[in-house]
Amino acid sequence: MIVMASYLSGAQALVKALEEEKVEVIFGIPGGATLPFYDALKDSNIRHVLARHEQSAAHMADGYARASGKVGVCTATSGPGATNLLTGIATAYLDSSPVVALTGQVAKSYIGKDAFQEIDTVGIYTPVVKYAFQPLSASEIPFDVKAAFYIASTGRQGPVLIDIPKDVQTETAEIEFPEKVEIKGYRPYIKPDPEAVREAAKLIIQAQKPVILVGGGAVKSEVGPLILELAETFMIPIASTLMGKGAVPENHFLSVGPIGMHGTYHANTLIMESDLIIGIGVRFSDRTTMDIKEFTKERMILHFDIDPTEARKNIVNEFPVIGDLKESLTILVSEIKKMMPYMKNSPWHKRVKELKDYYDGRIFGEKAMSPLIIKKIREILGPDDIVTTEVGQAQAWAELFYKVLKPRTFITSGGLGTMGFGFPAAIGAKVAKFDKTVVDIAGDGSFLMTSNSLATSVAEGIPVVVVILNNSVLGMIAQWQRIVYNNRYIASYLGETPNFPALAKAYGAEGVRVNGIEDFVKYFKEAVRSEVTYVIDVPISPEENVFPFVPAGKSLREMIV
Amino acid sequence: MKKERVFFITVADKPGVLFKITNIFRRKNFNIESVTVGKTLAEDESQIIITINADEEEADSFARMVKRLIDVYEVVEAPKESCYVQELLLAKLEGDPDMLQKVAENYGAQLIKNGSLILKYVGEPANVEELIKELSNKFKIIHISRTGITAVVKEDGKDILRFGR
Ligand SMILES: Cc1ncc(C[n+]2csc(CCOP(=O)(O)OP(=O)(O)O)c2C)c(N)n1
Repeated sequence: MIVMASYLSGAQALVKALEEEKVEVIFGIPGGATLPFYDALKDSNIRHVLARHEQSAAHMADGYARASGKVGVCTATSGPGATNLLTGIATAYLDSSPVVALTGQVAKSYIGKDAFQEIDTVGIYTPVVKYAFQPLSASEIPFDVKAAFYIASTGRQGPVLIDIPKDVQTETAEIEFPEKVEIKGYRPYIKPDPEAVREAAKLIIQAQKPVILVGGGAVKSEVGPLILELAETFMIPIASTLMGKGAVPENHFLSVGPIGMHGTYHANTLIMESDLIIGIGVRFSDRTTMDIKEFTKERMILHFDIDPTEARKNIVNEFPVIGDLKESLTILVSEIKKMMPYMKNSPWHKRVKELKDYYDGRIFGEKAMSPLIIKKIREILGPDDIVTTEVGQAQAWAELFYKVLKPRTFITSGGLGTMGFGFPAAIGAKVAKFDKTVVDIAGDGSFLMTSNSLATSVAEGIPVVVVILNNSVLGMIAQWQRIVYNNRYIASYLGETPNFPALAKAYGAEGVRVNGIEDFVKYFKEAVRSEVTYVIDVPISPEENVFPFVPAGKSLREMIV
Repeated sequence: MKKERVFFITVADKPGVLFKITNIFRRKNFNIESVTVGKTLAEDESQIIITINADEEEADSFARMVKRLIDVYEVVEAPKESCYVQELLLAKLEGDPDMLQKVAENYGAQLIKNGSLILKYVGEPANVEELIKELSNKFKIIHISRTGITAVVKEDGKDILRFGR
């Protein structure tokens, strides 16, 4: 169906199509191949946030998407703009985040001629996007935009690329705007088979030692209340993956926190003692399961997911229930309630309570400072405030000690593990939730990768807080070299440079180096109220280790503490 | 167990789709032994038939990755022995036409004389190999072209993996 037809340039059609999708903000950097688009954008109410590197533009769009649940939009010019953007798009892809990337391309007649700033953008992006469009005439643009938003935001979400040759942006035509698109072969909504759900319910009832494992899919589909209902009727402990943090409040009495390489001691232990794992919106990645043989031994695995290609992907003998999570779990809960025996005083529940009481919030290793900082951040922030993370020890500390209370308030690069993600993602999240405090928990190495986004945050008035756990090393690399490679350190020492508060101030942001916990609390409270981005530099010993730590190739039982 | 496996992939008939699929096999460093593409009954669809040498787990993983592509409507994977498999050979040759005729008749091939001598043969890939060997012993091969295999799954075929629409 067609809503309207008008005589427009491709660039104008693009802007109009974005307005139709209710886009509020675009993160990007212009270039020769996107100038027509930018010119048309000038006449629109859509906000443009100027990044200082395209990678950060993509992370901002991703952070915006993860915080809001809406599609994030970023843009870059052809050639180097598109290649810079790529890391951010790959990051979104591995975490199934709905982002639409608009790239300029050289004019059609120059494609394939190694023209100035010409690269095969669609070719490079294809393996890391859910779909890639390249409209070859202005009239195709509205369809491609609508389809891109539809694909990005439905089913298993993910980034979509629209690569638009410059002459397609400038040509004018009578352009029609579809109200709906249909994409053959794309069926994002899958109705679960009720018979399979009933079967799953039976397995749950029969289990003596069940554990629920929630993943990023449970956060995105907002099924937390259903999971709690399931857990509470049967007193099942709830563990999560790194991406699943916040699907249910981590201060709930049945929550045991994340499992995996840096899972909590009690969650890893309980998972390995269980006789049934109820996976919800998880993909059983290697960092979650660790040694997969041990993970699957002696227990049944139920797997609820929307993506049929996830069924039996990593665990061959699991029992999959494929379909919309909300619907699957609604049926499951009502089935369980029909047959369920109340299990409050079962030996399993006692075991869960015993482990949780002893290990919850416990800090392993000597005098580690980072966990104390993270616990303080949790104490001071409200339940709707948002934390993003960089990658490395700081991320692992946040995973272990930051209890996430609401979905979409913990934003981290789980799949790709991209250093430099947290800060621009925080800026994007802040744009989405301007009335909330957004804090990036960073390592010094990661922060330096995208710290030039300080310019964006100051110039555009998007204040966030950066807490740098500054150990003067690439901490996670140093930890591995210490533990796995016998203290043979190489290329992991960063030194005491730069002076982070001075760096922040050079950009017009605030910066302070704190001395001890009390000092941190004082300045963190100030930072939360600050109207400008605030960088808090926290000195940390370079020798600090994140424990528990499950070395690669080992089972979740074999934690180093 | 490693064996030859045939993937029947029904796709949207548009540019870039074959690239996306072959790129998945490249990603896992697999050599595609044969690939053929043809239209299906539906106006805007093609079928891509790809043969690779893989074990069960690899085949499963390929089928999933390929099915995840939006332009892919259906993936069916079957071990070669579960398929009826044929290949077309065209061989341009020099040599004694009568001798060639004899070889052709032996194999049930067809000899086409249109300026040059062209042998046209349809058969199982193993027979194609054998025929090529014989031709190269007895004649001068100017050029050979093989289509790669086309196939259908047998009614009683076993171990079929299907990711449907
Ligand atoms: C872009 C990128 N490059 C390299 C790595 C490998 N890597 C993982 S953790 C890490 C160290 C991170 O150091 P820092 O940000 O200082 O955090 P810390 O571990 O000290 O908390 C590195 C280099 C990565 N994950 N991402």
